[in-house]
Amino acid sequence: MKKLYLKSIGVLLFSLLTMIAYAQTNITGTVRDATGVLPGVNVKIKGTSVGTTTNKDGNFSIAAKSSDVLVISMLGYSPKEIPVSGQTTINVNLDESSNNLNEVVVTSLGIKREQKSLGYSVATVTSKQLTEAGNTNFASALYGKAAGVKITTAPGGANSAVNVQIRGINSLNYSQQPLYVVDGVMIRNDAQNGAAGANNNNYWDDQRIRGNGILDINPSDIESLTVLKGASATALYGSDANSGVVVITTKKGLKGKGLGIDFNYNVGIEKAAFLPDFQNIYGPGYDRATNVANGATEEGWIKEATSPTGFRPYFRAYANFGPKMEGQQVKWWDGSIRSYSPQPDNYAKVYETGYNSTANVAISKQTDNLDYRFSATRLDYKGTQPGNTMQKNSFNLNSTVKLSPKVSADIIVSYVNTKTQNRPYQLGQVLGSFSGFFSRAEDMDLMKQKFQTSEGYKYSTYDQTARPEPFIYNIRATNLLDFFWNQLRNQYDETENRLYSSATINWAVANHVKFRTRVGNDYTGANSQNRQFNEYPLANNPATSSTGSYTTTQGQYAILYGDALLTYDNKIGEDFTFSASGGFQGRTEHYKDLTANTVSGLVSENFFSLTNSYGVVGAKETRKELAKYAYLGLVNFSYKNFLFLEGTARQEYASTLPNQNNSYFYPSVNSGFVFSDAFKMPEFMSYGKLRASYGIVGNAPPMYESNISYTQTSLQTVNGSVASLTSGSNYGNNNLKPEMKHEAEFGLEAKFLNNRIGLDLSYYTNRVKDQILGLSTSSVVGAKQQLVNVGEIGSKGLELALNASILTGTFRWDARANVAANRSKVYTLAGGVDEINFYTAEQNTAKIVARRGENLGNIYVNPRLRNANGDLVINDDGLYVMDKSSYVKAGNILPKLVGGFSNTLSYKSFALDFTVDWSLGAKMISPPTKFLTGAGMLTNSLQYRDAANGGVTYTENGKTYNDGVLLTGVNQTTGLPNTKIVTAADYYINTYNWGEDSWTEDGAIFKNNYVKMREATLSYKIPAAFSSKLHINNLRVSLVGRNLFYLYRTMKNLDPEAALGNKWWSQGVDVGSTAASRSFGFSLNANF
Amino acid sequence: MKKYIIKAGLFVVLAASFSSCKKDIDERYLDPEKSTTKSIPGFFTAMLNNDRVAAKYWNVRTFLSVMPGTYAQTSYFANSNGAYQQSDSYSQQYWDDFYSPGGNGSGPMAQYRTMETVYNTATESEKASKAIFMNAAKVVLIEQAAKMVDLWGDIPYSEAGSLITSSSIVLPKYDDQKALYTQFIADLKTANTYFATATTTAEFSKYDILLSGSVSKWQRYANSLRLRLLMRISNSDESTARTEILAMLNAPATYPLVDGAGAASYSPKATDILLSPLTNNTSTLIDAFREGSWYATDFMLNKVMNPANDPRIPVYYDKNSVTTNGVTVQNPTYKAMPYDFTAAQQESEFAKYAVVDSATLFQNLNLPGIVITASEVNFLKAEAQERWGNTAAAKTAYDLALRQSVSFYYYLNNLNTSGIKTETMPAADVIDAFVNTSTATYPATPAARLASIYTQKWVHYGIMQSTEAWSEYRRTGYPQLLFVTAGKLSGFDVPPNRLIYPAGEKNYNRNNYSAVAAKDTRLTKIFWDVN
Repeated sequence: MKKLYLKSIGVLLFSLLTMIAYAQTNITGTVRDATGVLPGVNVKIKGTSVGTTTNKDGNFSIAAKSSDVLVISMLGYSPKEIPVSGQTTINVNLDESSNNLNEVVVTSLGIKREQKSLGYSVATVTSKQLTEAGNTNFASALYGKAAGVKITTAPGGANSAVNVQIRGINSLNYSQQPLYVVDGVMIRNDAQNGAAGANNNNYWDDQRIRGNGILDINPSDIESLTVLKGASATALYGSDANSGVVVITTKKGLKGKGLGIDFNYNVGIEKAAFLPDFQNIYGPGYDRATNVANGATEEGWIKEATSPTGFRPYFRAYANFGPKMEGQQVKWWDGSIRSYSPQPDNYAKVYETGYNSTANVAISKQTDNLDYRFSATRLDYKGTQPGNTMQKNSFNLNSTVKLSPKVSADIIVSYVNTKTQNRPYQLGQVLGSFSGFFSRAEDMDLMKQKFQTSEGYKYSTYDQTARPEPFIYNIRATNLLDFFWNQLRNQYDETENRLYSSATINWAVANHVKFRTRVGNDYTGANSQNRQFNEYPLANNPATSSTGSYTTTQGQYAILYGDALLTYDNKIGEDFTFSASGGFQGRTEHYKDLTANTVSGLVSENFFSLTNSYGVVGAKETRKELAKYAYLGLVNFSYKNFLFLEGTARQEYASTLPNQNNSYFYPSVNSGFVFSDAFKMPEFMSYGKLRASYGIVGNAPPMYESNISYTQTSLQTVNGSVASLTSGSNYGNNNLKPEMKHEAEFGLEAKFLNNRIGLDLSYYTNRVKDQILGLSTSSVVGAKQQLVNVGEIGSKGLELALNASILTGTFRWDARANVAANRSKVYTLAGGVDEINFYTAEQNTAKIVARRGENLGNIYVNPRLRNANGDLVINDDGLYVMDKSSYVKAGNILPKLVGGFSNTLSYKSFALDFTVDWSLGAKMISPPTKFLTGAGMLTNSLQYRDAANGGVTYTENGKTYNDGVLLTGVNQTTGLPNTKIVTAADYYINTYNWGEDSWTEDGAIFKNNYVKMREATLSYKIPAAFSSKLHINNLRVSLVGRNLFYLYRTMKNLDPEAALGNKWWSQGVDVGSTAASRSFGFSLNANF
Repeated sequence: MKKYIIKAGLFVVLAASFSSCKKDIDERYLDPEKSTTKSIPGFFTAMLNNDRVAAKYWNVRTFLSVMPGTYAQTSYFANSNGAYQQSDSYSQQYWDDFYSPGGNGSGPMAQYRTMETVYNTATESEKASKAIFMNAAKVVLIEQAAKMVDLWGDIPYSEAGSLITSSSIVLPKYDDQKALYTQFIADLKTANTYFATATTTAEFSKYDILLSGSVSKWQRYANSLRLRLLMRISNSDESTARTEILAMLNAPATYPLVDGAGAASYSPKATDILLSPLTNNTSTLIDAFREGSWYATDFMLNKVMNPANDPRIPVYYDKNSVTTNGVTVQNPTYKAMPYDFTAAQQESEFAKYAVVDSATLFQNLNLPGIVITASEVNFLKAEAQERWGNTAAAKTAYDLALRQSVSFYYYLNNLNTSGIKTETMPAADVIDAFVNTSTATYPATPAARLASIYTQKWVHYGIMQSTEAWSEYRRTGYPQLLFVTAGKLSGFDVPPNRLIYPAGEKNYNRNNYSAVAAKDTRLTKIFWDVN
């Protein structure tokens, strides 16, 4: 102890002496970036611990010697070193950097590491990149901004789930979403939905487009976001990290004089975009034979004496092969006389113009013992689907309290309150079903008016003559009217209150020893009220039921998280430093949902209360609980600050696995070698590093999935209450093991030309063993699915990120680009399984499969039948015959190449930011598009309809027609060349019908390549001379556009991003979602 | 140093406080909302509580009315271009509901296999007390399995249910349809023998929600089902059918049947095999009918019932009414739209035509699931007597069947307690006239007699037993229905002779399917369909 004192005194004396020897002067200056002054910038004297930070005006003041070098640095900017050399005023311009190598990166367990020392690839996204285009959630802002990260936003707008896929497919069944960690605490994304996820993509289940938990994280509160991709990077998170980890750090209080205040406001309008290419010539009707058989004229008119022309359109027809729309005056289904004319915009008019508006204000302060930042955000949203609105209030408090010189506490609390009205629907049942098809002559304003009666009851069809205001004819698109009824009359309100918080204590226990412990929670109270109005007057009720309903649900979702980590670090000699940590991590999750609903309608009209139930009130509860904990350890070595080695280990226990298989071990190792520091490099090369890593992470199924248990129902029978027991349609498995991903990764980081150009290249290869899959099978085995360890898949990929300052100076151009290629392959499948079907369409004429040795996501289809000579076989009706017994490969649903290209161009006070992203090489299956073609709705069905469009001329019953189709091929029975001419209508209606006799390959499978202008922002910084008069430091206004247009796309009748659903394969399937929306607006940013 | 030890100790305590977690982890594995008790009675009740048997919206709407009911014209359908095209997803669901629970049926095959698995590992005394459940379950399984054969032909049966028996997926072969029928018929004979001496138990009486533990009824059910199946094969294997049926009919004490003991005005509740709805049932078939099959059918009402002045008309149909300028006038008579009405005619004329009866079918909360009725059994007896016995006995059975059908439908009608007007049974002379002096009267010529038996049985089945109606229509060729064939989709211009296998089955059970793929066309006939 005495020795230590002496040493300290010695150092102190030495310092004093040097101070005397070298006189110091006070240096002042201002730090700016392209847009203005920068507060909070670190200014340090190189080689010392002496430093300061800039105040809110970007000014600093520091005492330094003439021989000193100032190091100016800030997260998100390239640091600068400036020799003092006798200057007393030093003004600095910092350049932004998306991938700065000296940056500190937040890694697993919230451990901060210098990026230089990492042995694996991470992608860091800055706060500016997340917020500049005014996205309502951070995940949608990630499009094209991180290599190997693929974003899929469910159409439907701000309240729809966003899926994030990191490095291809890691799990066939579960948890294909990354783990989200906010300020060190794992938060809920959509675990309350269990294995099913937030959204399905099928025709029958819940048709509302749901959101997920990450929508609650306010982009403007995010300081930095790190994507941990590989197994080694994520190994410390074990079974939650199979699909990568997104680590989010929220903003902290800033140093400055007094309070710092930030204000941001974004507003924009949203419009439905990228709609199918409709024909506008022909109205409702079928082929001639069907028209006549159904009582219409050959052309498709139905006799109607009270119609001005003596005919009325065939409103019930789903197809559009009827008479040309030429403004004929006819009687309409509502009894009015209207002109029979094309309605080119009727599809677009299903949707409405929506808007989004976000206002955010944040105050922050840093003092000696307390730093804090408080932010409040209000988001108002109106979707493009009629009736859909959302309001979200977010509050975030981030504080650091110094309890003692050795102990500090970080306390972060976020509260989010969300109200959502009439969440949008998937429109598969509406626009992808014949019962929702409306003709090209239909007036959408009329549909929107007639879905309800004048007294607010639901529309009455032609055969419900006793109900109010029945239509006079049978019409087709009742599913569309039902949709309007649900969205414009019924009220489905959701309210969510979510509180997530984290409290961390950092304790410098002793020299070299640190202890950190953290407790976090994430609690959501969700409730909803579904008010369905009475559909017709009580007088029309049948004898034993009524209409309308009221359903109320209460959900409580809670995660409690805790960890503790003890770290020791020290030096061994001059060249080695090392640290070792050991710790514990654990959490419990609880999910409860309680639903109560009226049964058989409402007794009194439109009185929404459970007490108004016609039958006995129904109620249902689900309870789910999960516990996981793990012991973990990690060691780090570094040699001369250019060679780094890290090893991690995790022993984990999880309650979702059968007891004998519920504990397992995850190790990982990684190494980084900064060869540019070890060897002398050529002049143009400023930095170079090689990386290598290997790790194991896992994946356990969601709660209760593998249980073998029985549903008990108490039946009220003629014998009294009797308990019945059934096994379900999904069969459990008491031998289930967790999935294990083994991944190796190699990388190269380099910077050239004085850091003007940077590149980061990664190659990874992984194998995921014991894939858990709810293996679909035929019900003949006693259930439709069993959860099994089905085999091994693996992915290989290359990720390349580039950044460059292309132009510097007054006109500045910075660009960042990334591109990633990934292949996911099936290596082995369990014995007896030769093919796994993830999705089948159209009576299995198309399917997405996994076959041993093939790429994952291959599409197989029934081709058209050919004879031994390879000629197409044509049936006696003159139509193609499908070969139902064989399958041919028709592409793959997974893109071969995804990436993005972001640019910042600035000139004086103007800046233009834009991001382009692309996806190439995938295919999409869309049965609804086939139905649209078959129904003659699209321009692609105009071919053959007349001579000008290639129709063959022929004579039938003495009349000449020009709408013939003569398919090339041989007759099925005679083997002779086909001579049977079919009408164009017959051709489309049959060839592109639903089911196994139709040509699914042509009608429903499309190449899906696109390059999209994702977002663009043009901003102008108001001159300081003006803004300072308003006491504003920075004032910037921007024009903002998102989801703007496609530079290139292969699908003309379907938005490339129409896919919906949580499964990995849902990205390749459209079952009729809703239109994408395009948004334009402006934003205003100010700080005081 | 001491300080470090204390701090390290603190950390160890913290870590240790979680070390008891392994037990918590294990305990949280199972879903608190589910049961792990394996109770044969519980599985049996669930097997009986079958929404493919009960009068349920989904079964009527997606199966009975759109497939068998359309193909047998027991239910009305719109003349659309795809009217005869089988719905793959709906037939898939029907298929699945036989093999697996968790859909709209009870999964009788899976439930039976579960019971079997538990039973096979039970102690001898447990086996003794549960044997009655196993025998009853077997009868129920056969009743549903035979319908599967009637719809599709060869089906997986003997090897089905591997998940339950071995916890693994072993795809079963397709059993030959004819062999299955032979086995069903033999198994039902075994059941008869068992129930002849069995005694009921309190537990069985409680859990048997179909027949409330009546051993006598189970015996009659087994025998009547056997009679139905034997008659079904009587055109393809007449000698077996004849021998076995006559053996049954000649020994009524050994082979008691659901025949109402000769009483015309019998009690369906006490006699027939009917699945009563749950006492808290709130759903009726109103939407099932309104969504497409609401109207009376041409052949049944116009060609059979009206000419015979059938006393069942008021409980089969409502007259419907026409509203003109807000004035609603009930139609004067019961009539059905001609089968060849175009869709446009159907849409403009519908109001003038009769609809399905509201009290009997449409809004009847108490409508039971119909399994076997005395009337059907007596029609079968009549056919047997007409073909292999004597005409007098055939006439007796036929007349009785007609009268019992009248009783049966008035019984259903009067189950309605919702306040809708129910009908009173017509006077005896009205029924006598129907039986003795109408077009329904037992005809003089042998060919016409069988035609009458078949046609009247078809009327009796009606929409609720469309599956049986379609099978018997295919076997016998009666009634001689007409179908519109113009304006249909290519390849779907006539109704099918069987259902094609659902896509999921073809796909997942590919290898076994390949053995039957050649027979898998919509015009292939079931083995008993030889005319």
